[in-house]
Amino acid sequence: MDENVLKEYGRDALLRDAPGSDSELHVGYRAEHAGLTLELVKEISEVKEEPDWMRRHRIKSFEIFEKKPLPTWGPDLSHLDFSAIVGFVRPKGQGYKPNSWDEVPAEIKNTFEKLGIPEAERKFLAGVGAQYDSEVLYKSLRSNISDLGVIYTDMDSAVREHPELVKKYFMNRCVPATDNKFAALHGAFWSGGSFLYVPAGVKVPMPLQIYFMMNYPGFGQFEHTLIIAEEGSQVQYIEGCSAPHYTKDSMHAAVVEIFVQKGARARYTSIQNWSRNVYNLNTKRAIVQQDAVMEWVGGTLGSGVTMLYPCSILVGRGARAEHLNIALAGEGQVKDTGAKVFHMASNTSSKIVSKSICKEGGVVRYRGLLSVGAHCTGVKSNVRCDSIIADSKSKAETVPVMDIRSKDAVIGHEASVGRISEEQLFYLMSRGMDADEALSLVVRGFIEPIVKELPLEYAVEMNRLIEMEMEGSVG
Amino acid sequence: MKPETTIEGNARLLTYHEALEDTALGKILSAEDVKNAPEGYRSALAGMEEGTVIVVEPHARAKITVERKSPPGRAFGTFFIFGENSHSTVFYRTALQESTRECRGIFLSKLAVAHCCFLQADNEKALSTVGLVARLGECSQLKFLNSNIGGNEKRDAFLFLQDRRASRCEHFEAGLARQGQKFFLDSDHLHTAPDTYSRSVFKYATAGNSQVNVDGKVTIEQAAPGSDTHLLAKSLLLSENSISKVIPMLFVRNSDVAAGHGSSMTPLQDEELFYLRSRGIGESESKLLVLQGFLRDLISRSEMDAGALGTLEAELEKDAHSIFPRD
Amino acid sequence: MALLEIKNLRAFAEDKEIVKGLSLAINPGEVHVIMGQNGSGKSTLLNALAGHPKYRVEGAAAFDGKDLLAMKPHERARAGLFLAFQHPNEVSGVTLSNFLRRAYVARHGKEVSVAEFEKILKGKMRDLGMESSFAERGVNEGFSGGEKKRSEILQLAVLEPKVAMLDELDSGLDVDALGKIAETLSSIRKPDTAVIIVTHYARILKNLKADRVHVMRDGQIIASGDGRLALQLEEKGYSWINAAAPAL
Repeated sequence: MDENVLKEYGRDALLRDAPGSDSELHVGYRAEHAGLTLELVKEISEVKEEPDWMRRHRIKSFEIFEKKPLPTWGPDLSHLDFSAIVGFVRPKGQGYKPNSWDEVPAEIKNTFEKLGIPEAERKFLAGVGAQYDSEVLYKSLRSNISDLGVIYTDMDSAVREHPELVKKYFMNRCVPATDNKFAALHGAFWSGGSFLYVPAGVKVPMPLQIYFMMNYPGFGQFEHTLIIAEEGSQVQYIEGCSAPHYTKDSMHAAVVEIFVQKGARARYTSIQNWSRNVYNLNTKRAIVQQDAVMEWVGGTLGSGVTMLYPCSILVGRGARAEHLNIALAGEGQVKDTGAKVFHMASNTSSKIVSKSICKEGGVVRYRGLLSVGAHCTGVKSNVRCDSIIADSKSKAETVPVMDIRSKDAVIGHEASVGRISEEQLFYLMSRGMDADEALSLVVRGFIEPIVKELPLEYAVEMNRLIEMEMEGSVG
Repeated sequence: MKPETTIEGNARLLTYHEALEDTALGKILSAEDVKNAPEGYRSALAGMEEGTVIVVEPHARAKITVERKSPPGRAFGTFFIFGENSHSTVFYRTALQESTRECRGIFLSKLAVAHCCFLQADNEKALSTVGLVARLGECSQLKFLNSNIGGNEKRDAFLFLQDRRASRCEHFEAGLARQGQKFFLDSDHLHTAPDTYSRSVFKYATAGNSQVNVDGKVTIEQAAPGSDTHLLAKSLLLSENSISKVIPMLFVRNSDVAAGHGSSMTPLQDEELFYLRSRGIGESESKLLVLQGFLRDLISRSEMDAGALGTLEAELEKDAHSIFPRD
Repeated sequence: MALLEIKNLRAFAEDKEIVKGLSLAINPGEVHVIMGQNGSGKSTLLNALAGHPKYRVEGAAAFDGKDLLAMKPHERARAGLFLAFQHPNEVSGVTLSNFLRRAYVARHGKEVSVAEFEKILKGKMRDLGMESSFAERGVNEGFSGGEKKRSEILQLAVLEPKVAMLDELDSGLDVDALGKIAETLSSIRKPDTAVIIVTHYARILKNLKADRVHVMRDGQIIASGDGRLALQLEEKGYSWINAAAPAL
């Protein structure tokens, strides 16, 4: 997957990824999907006791999955073995867990130790233990928010209990199965995830976290998150954490669909630190209506390969999107991340801040798409993407595409790549900080615009984890 | 048909075939990396009916002017070879009436300094493709200002090979795309040697239903520590239905670098226009002045030879007037 | 005993020798001014003393009786050596107050709470006539030239070093700002501390009395005197002193 391929297909594939589009490329198609059969799809639907419309949706998605080719751009996915995931796609969608604590890789255990993760949490994060005890917290939280009319439940239950709502929004306008191969795979095999519905005018007082789910089976591989924020509502949702999560699942194809209605405000925070055997190929997208605001805050720390381009489609006048992201790539890791914003109405604005760090042969790539449609006036957008490249084994790349078809747009983009400057470090050392402290301060400062948007415990953990990763990486 | 060429100083004019017969020159022109050259260069070279080579002798000073009013054929080539430690300025203008493919070469030997100003003021019907390869020798310096005025559809693909230590390359593009025009610029700076420096500044204004695509790529390989690069692409959006697509790309494989790029797209700003109008200047003329300022700023920043810049400015002025006639 | 004793110091940037055998003794309580034209090596001298990794240094320097050249940059800072940079670096995302608190802790070798430090900092900022919001900005981030210098002076006031070295801090400042700096320096000036000011101009001496004035050229000190030397230099220009002290 070289720049030549990127040049031919990279930008165009991104541009073709607009809603409702259908890619016609038939290059690099892998035919072996042994075990991933229509029968399995039907079986899953039956075990879940799903209504007919969902069953049909799965079948249709599977057909699309079979036909669609792998993307011909981006990181090397040739080692992705679809057939190998068969054994992991269990009807209850629990994912494939290690049998015991002993199976968990030493490096993960070491990180838990260094970060000071409490014992109780470690097993949960490693997928070995059950949900750690938060029953009391969960129950009180649940009653608080349900009083407000908020529906917050797992996706499987939502299909049964709120079919009209789910049917209205699930994988049609936002991320249809036709979007890309992994969305289609997801559409057929999805399981688990969260459904969050916030009625008009309701402002949910605290960020909702995935841990609050009593029935949560653990980090699934095809989770579907559907969030609907009705007019004038406000909600914040957080998933994941900086501490490493271990799973034997080698591929994740989650989908997040968010509808931010008129005047509403939604923030989706996602921090991921999957073990290195994972291919993390999620599709996350939000449709933003008039005067509404969508914020994506993310930290992509783990996995072997991640392809992630949260997408905001600004369809309403005055809509706004903010994308803040940190990506870290160490040895053997590829972080191909970015942001896509489609300005399809007037007076819309967007801001993107991407901070990446690569070291020890890691690869970070920022891939962005900023599109301003014709006849949109008063559009403003600003993109800032900075990369720290710690050594010459690593690679840092940025490929931002700006496609502007209106004259009344003010667009700014800036990117910088370099290592942590000796001058900066010396300045700090000349004020009495030793080399490690100086480095840690500079790195924290680098990621500060994103970390400051995280709730405190997450911020602390994120800072510690990144510092840990950066230790000794400056020669 | 040979171009009209004026040479002051110690330089000579040869045909491509004559140059190939010279061992040293032939080696430069047939270098292996030409296979990395952009498609536009390769295809023009393959179908080349006439090629002109201008060679500046080592340690010489030269001032060269080249004009092409009619092409020698569908595909032709123009090459400049600057000898060791030479110092040259080049002004190359085309005013072609029909569609053509051209391959251009700029080859700087060690310590050579060259300031090249290329202006394409072709006929409105012309669809032309230019593929350029520039190779910078050790400690050489290239200042390159390129401007597209005429033409219907113009495809430019440039490759700058900085594969020798401490070369400096400054690449400026100034262009005005009017109704019906399409400019596609594909620029590639490849740094594969230590301490190399490159600055690219692209400024385009889009009017009418024109389209401008700018792909500006900078690659710093592992073998290029001490690289210092920056690319800036600015678009001035003058109309509702023009299309501006800018993709600045940066690929970095070494940590000992300072690399960055920036891009901005803005319309004519109300404050600027108001300031001019509050001094009694008419609406159309205010816009004209701002547009001229946008382009002139780049031209003067390039600090190139005054004579060449004067001609370039005059051409741009004419064009700008057609968009914003005096009121 | 001299607070800072420099013997035959040579500083090299890559292979180029910039400071070519310089000797100087700074005693407690003294203010030394080093003047010289661009390229004379004054900045390099200060940076080399602070331990800038860019310079390879030969010779000897003793700080408070200890071998300065054997210490790492942060050790020199903790021992009480302070350099106010000519072009201070930006450290984005780190607030000036956070940065200063850590430096303060490093300097005094004991912890101080955020609240406690805030009091100290606010006090110093008030004395310097700085707005308290200044402290919440990123270190030198988006600061104008003048603001950067004030940031350096604030650091100086907070850290209370034994030897403060100022690299052209006065260039580009107006009379008031200059006065403030002189005031700060006078206030931190104690019988056991010293100040080295590198400057192009003698203006600052109108507010601050110098004990010794040295003129550098081509990496060496070519003349030393008291405050009058600076005034003469200002009056007659560098060509006068160059003529008076031809190549050594």
